[in-house]
Amino acid sequence: MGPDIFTVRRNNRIFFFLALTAITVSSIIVTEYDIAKGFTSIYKAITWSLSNFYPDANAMTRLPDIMIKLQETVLISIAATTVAALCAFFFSIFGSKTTKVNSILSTLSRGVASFSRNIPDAVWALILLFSFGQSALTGYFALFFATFGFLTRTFIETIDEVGDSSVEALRATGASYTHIIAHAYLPL
Amino acid sequence: MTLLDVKNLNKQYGTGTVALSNVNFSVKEGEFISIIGPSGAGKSTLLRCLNRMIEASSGEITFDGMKVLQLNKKELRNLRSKIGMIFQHYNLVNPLSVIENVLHGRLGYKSTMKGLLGIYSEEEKKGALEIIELLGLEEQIYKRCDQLSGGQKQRVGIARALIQKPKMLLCDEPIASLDPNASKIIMDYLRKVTNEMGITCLVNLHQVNVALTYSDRIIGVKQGKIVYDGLPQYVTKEIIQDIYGTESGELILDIGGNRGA
Repeated sequence: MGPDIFTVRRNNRIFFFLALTAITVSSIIVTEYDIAKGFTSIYKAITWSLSNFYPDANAMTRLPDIMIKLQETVLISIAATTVAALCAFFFSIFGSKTTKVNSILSTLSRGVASFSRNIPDAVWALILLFSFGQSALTGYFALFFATFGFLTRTFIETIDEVGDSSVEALRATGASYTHIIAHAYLPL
Repeated sequence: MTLLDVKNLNKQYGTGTVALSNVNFSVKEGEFISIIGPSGAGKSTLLRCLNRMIEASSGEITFDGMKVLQLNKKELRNLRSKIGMIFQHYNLVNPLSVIENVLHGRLGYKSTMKGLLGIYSEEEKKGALEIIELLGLEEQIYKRCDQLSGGQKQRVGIARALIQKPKMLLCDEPIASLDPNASKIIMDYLRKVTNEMGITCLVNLHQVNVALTYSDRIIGVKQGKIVYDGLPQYVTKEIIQDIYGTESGELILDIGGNRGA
């Protein structure tokens, strides 16, 4: 018998709490954050944002302009999500353990998906902004990469969750690989 | 006529567990055979080696004149389409309706494009309807499979296997997740399939009584070896104890009680 499991749990919790405190304190010191000032400024922040973000007469004159950009953004996001979903579908089929064609392709697909997901869309936007300048294309790519990574991971998880029981059954009827993908997974 | 012939079949997983060692048996057309044995004895592995869902390590399997272990990809699909398979957990595609699941049994006969798009001929649909009615599922025909009871799901499983027009059914613990009532219904259907359609049945079973009642022949498996192969009438207490070990005690030794199918 090892040490009592409850003691281990308690020690783990204490260690976690101490580590968290240490990280918090050291980041306060590094960033020279004034705790008291931080809390008293909340009120000021609220009044500032209310007075600045409140639409006034000036804003109304710019509304048509804003509407055009807004419409463009909606269209861009629809286009980016659709294409991303299509790409994510193929990457998830290749990436999932149950439907993979081979291990190299699977690892590669998962890697690409993780990479594009783990970089936040704001960072994608910044990187692309520097490379392409401010245009619709930049926005499109930023949304595409973030959505693509996210969707691929979700699709892979969904496929893994189904497990291989119905796949086994279809394989046993003599169905080919494409048949199995079409009939065991697409209905999801 | 011999339908299936297994010679010196061996299966080893990796470099570790030996699941099957030197298995020999043959099956005549129209036989109903139960394979009994403790968990982990290799029953499931044995069944899955027959249609190469699991690749055997060595040996020889002849099914309906085909050398099973030498088949290429296309021939293997052809082989599998002639062997229906029924599973303990039914293995249906749950979000789909009963009829769609049943028609999946035809995929083995389809070209890539037709199978991909799920194009079934009028004849196949009629066939599916007939089989669904035969199994008493006509009320459930458009229901999603996750809304069915266990017994109904297993009947869909049987329908999916039957629409393949198979020569043989492999049943892996078909009643292990069902209550006694549903179990009886399923076993009656399987027996009917053999009696009336002449389809050979190979059934893995945990219920020794059920095996003795329904089968023409019993195969006892223990630690990857066949330790009994013969008529159910000659299965004695000693044989059961040999297969399951002496621990099995009184629980499953009620043989001879409800015989006579």
